[in-house]
Amino acid sequence: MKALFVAEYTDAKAVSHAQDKLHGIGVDFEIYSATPLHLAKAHRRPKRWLSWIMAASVMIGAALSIATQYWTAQISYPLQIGGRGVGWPAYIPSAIALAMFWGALGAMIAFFGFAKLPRLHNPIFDAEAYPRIPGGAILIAVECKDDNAEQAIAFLKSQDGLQSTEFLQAEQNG
Amino acid sequence: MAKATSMDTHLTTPEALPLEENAFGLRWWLAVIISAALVIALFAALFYTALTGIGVWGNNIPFVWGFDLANYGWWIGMANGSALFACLLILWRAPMRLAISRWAEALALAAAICAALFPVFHLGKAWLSYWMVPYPAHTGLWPQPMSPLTWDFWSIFAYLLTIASLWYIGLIPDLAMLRDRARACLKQRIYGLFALGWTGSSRQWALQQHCHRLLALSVIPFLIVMQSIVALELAVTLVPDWHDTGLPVRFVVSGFASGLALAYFFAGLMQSILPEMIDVDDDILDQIGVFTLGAVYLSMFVVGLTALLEWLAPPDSSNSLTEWTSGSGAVLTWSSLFLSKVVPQLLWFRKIRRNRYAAIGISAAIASGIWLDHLSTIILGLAHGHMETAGNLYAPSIIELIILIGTLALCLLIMLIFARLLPLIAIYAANEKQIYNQGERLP
Repeated sequence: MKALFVAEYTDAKAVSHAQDKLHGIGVDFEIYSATPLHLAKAHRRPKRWLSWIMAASVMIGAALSIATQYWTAQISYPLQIGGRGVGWPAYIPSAIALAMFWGALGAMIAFFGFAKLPRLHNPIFDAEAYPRIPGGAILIAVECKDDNAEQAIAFLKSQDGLQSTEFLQAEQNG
Repeated sequence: MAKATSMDTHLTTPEALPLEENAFGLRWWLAVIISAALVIALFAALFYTALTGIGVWGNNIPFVWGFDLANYGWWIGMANGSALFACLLILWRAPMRLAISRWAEALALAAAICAALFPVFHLGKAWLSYWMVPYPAHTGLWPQPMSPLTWDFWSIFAYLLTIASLWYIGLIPDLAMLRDRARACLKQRIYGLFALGWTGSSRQWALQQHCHRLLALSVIPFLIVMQSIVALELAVTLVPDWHDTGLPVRFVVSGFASGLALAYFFAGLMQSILPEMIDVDDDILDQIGVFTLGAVYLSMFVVGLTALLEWLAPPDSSNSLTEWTSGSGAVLTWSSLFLSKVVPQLLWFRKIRRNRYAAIGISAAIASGIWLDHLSTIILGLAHGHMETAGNLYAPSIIELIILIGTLALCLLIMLIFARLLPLIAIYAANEKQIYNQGERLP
């Protein structure tokens, strides 16, 4: 069982300041809000990976499409159309369509993977403050198993704008 | 444990989601009943066509294509135009994207569904349409990759799934909000299933925003290519009037204009019948009107340039300009020009742009004009082909008219159901605006 310490704020600036401090302490934490807070330096690596995965998917989709069209029309059941050669330009429309489809599919799968979705139950849903998120509450959840967790918790409790705190017990894989 | 004393929220309570029961009164039900009746007629007409054959349409030599291709090109043009508009707003981070992009994406999806009916049913044997899928058949035959029909299949397939992805990624946070606000257990579970367990963590937000913008960016070239493919289906044939390098450009710009007209129409219509569902005020209507007028001028430029080049061509190479403007089908050409190019000039007047009924009327005129443009391209191109004809023009049958009206009703029905089940605006984005209105942007 792991435990989470949940602190509730309503001021996005206070949360931004807290984020910088918690990064400095080096503790594992997450911020929950009703809207994207566009916090600086947040999650650049997974975003970059998502872009590259999408780009790779587009290339793979185009290559697969052209290969499939070529194989079906020239190898598996060759079509002799007045002795003309391979109509490569004619393969372009389907290739572009499928490239875009594979790109979208790759982006979706990468997004679900990095965002750890689907996960129909999350320990944060049990937080007393969670229903207040749509009304403007912002929650900071710190994992208590961390060595620096006590320092982080003490900092959060002393932070201006704190509305409430609680401890949550969570399943190990939850 | 510290407790909150009084909630000093920097956000107003999220405005009532447009799914509260009291918002769906007589007007919504009336609209649903009428459109559902027309959709039933649509499916009856399609079933009759599949059962009896394409002969129940007006198609016959030389008019091997008629309403089917005109409707397909028109619907996919509107879908592309609407999607392009939504994607550009997302990428520009334009403030009006809050009010528009969600339902513009849904309009694109609905229009694409209407378009997808035609490549299937115009085959005649609609139940054999699965032959377009490259599966290992016992005959050893595969779909012909050089055929425009195969291009249609892959384009529609990829388009529907890509636009659905774009729409869904943008919707996930609002589905989570609906899950959290739902009172009934079943609603909570259904919304929860589709929300995938979204928590609103900063990691999820960062990835969702990035993914949404990436998809919008990737969709834009796809739309331009897709609309060009629709034109290429005509341009790769031997029909003289279709075998034209300018046709893809014309279809792209007219598609964009018709897509914006569809968005303008929907904004005006919803403001009239369900104003509480949509966050479109007169200023937003004004801005959409300006964009629509701009798209119309782009279309006018391309059409004018095409006509000029046709007029400058040697007289014995092609006399399509004369045929189209003074032949037996000239009424189609001039009607199209009037509706799609002259009527929109009313949008120069601010008072007219901001009027919802004028928005409905003018956008309907633009869309009708572009439909007539598609129809005249197909019919006059085929009438002016290599074969000698009796000189009669294409005569649509009642079944085709029912199908056309039915697809309009299908698009409306899809949007009405969407309005009932899901928010028409991005609630999270609207709330985000409120956060930034409170103070400076976060460092």
